[in-house]
Amino acid sequence: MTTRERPLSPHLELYVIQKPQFTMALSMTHRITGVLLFFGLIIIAWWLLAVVAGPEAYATAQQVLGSWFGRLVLLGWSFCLFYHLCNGIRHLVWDTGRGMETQQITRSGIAMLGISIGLTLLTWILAYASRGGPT
Amino acid sequence: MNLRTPLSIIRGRGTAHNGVHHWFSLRLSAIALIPLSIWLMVSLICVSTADHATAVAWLASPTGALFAVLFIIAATFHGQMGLQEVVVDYVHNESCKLGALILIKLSAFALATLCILVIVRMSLGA
Repeated sequence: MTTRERPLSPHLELYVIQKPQFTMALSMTHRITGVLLFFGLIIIAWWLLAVVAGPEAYATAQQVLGSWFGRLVLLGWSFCLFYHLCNGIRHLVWDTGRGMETQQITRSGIAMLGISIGLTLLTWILAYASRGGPT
Repeated sequence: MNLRTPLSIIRGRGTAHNGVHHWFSLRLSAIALIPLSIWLMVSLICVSTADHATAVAWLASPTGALFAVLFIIAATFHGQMGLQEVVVDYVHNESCKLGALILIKLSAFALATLCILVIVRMSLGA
């Protein structure tokens, strides 16, 4: 008896043969941001260790995170967090069976993307405004 | 004739061989992370340029320590399950899958323990 190839989930082939879809891109980004956020936890752990290690280690950590590269990583991290947060709420709404029509999904996707970019910008504006910019 | 009960047939289904438990736990921790991650971002805005004493005071305060520990627990719990979902979806080689899952679960556990120890140390003023 031959074993039939079992279908795999998610069924990527279905989307790849068509033109790239907005909804699909958002869904993939959700997973990518989730994976990146897990690695972000390593940065959080490292920063916590620097705080407990004392003022010198903390100063070094702040210097690394405050450099242009550190800020770029933090900017990416904050966007990942807001994106995953907003899209996660969208997923929780879907779990209740609401908002599943194609048009609703596209609209909530645009709104979610706008809100997450907006929250990221707001965070950085507030961070710069409150202390006159990261040191 | 199948003498297995419907419950025994349905148990352990899904790519994680864990039935609906994985799905529910992922959502449960997601709900917890909504207020916790908002707290984290608001705190980080305030503490981003703070000196060492302010950062210690923030983490050592009862609310700071409580929310930080809650965030770490929820985030590592949610994160390891999320990564598990990605791995079982895209890694089809059984040994690679098992290896990746072991690595994910153990590193999440180690990460959580490390962070909690640091926060507890600070809040106890060690």
